[in-house]
Amino acid sequence: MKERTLFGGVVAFLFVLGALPLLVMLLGSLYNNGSFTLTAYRELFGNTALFQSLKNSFMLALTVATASTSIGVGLGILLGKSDLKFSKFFLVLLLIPLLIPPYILAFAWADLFGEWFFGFWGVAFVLFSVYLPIVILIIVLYLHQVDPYLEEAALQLSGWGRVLWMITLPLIRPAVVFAFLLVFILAFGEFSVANFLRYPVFSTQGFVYFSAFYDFKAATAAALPIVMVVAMVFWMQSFLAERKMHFIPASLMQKITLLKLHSPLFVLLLLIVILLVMTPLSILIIKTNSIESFLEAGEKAFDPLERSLLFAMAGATLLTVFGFLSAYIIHKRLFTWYRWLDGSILLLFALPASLFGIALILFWNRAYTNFIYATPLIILIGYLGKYLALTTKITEVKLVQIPRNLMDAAALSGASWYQILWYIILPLSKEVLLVGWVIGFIFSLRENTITMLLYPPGSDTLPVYIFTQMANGKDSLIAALCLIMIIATLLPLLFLGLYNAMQRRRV
Amino acid sequence: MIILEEVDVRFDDRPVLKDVNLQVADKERLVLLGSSGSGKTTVLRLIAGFVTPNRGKVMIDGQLASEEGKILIPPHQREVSMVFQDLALWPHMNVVENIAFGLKIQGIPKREREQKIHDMLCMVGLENAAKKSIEQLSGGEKQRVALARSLVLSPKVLLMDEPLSSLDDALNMHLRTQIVKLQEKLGFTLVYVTHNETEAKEVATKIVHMQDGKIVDSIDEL
Repeated sequence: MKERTLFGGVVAFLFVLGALPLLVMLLGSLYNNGSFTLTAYRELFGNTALFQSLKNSFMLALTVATASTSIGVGLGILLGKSDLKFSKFFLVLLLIPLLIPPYILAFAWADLFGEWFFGFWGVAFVLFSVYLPIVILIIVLYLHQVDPYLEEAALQLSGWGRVLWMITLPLIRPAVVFAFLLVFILAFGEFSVANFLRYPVFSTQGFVYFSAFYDFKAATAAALPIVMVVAMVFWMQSFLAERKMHFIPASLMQKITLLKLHSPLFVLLLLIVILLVMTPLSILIIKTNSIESFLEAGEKAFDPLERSLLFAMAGATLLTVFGFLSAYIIHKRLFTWYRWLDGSILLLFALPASLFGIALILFWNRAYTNFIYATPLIILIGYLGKYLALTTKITEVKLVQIPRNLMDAAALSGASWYQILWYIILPLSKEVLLVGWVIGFIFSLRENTITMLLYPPGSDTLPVYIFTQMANGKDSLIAALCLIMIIATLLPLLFLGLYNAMQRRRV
Repeated sequence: MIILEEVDVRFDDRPVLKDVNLQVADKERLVLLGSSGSGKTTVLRLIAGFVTPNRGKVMIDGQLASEEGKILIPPHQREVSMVFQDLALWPHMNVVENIAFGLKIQGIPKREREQKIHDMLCMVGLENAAKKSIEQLSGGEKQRVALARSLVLSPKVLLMDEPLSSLDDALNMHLRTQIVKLQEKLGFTLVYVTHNETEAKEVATKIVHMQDGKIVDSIDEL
């Protein structure tokens, strides 16, 4: 089979699963009884409450993005570029809030502070702790691309303070802007924390319009401002994509020697970890109260957890396979319109999960597609559409690093495109595929908005079960369920860490 | 015989080769000599079939291999092998696996394959390094693996892109003598790229000077 034929099929498959439902929903919002109308959009923007929620979302996203970026850049430099002791350990700890469902953190903090925590600042604080690791990771990643000679040339003239300000930061400026915009759109579209902490934002409005009034036209129109923000991020992303990535090995990287600043910065970082990671986890442990609560939660969580693990494993496998295939198409620029694929995958990631869930309902909820809609397959489609960007981007970074000559040498040996794929590219990408699988697993496992909208009867997952328990369950039971959820999410990371350690020992 | 006829190559509208005409006779050792950016590597990649000419033709053994905007004979059907500047040894395969790859792809039976690999390892003096991983090899050993991987397929043409540039002088001299001996023994056509004039004179039967994407001089019968 020809390369372009096979990959054309992959793109068509992804289009039907992800982009087509959104297009159908968009067209549906523009037509009434077969004639074009903008009524839904006109009504929407005449609605004062909705306009207020749009303002709330904007302020919230701006606050979260500003705080996460300004603190995340500093922490990224500290953890990725300095001689700070245990920096890798701190980095792993700071990742934890990103990996667990955000509403669990909201639950823990609300329990500590009570009613006072509900509202704008509570939501902003939780989202800050969730998205801070994204900024740190992006900064650490891009610091590995700064040519050490550029810094060394400047270090002959000045100390690290000025070199960072005048050389390093300008070199990673696109990454800083990208991190800011990414956090902005994620915070703009976040649903579960604002919903739990009872703060009216734009993304919850779409959910309300759909679930309470079954008004999908208003729900679609409500997403329009979000799409505009997402378009800005695409522009940034395409700018970054033009820059060829050259990763400097850690051993060649120019590291900042902290000297006298080491102890105060170490203490500061420790305090941040205690505040953002240890405190909410401790609250949940204290709240669980007893082993009995934990055992009771374990018994109740067994079936939903089993389903969660099963769906997450299937979702992770699909995400890994299609992430690899999409990255291959984008990296090799197999089609002239590869940017559209790239853009659509990112759009699905950036759009509020509630909107994508509604689109899937409208598209698949038909008698002849019931074999998908009435089964857990619909949940897997949701995971695939929502998180494909993660595995695609991770794999793309690896594909960029495989020297072109390795493929050319294989081609000269007589290997066809699929033999090059099978014998050269896949074996060289196996570690990144494993990382992609674990990330796909974690994000599928923690997902609750799409699942809540789509799960067929009797197929609820643990995050959905916890969310429903939050409405009227016992606090000790909810806290124990949250702990079980956290353990289930972090276990694969532990296995990945052990695998990495074993590999390193072998080398 | 390889013929390049009035070839132009542009990358993003930047001219890399300008009106290049070149003939490489069978069993000849042609060296392309020139400074960085003169277009030497692009000529090799053009012959290998990795680069498409924007104008002109590439003929291999009387057949049209590439012409304006088109690759008519794909790389693996040109009976051409290449030793890349960075060697491009597959890091996830050991020495034998690197050499065996092309034979396996071509469906050569296992016994015949093993014999060919053994002969080739002996020829380049690597019989004791067969099972070593690429990371365990020295620079000179890596160089010989890349050479063995290219020659095991019995190519009619071997392209070498500054293959010895990263080695010290003594090893460089030893290996280029070995390359010349192998070429005389096996009788393939060699197109060799370097910026080192001494190296060029020792390897070549014909030297072609390149500058700014053009051929500026040609010296035959060395």
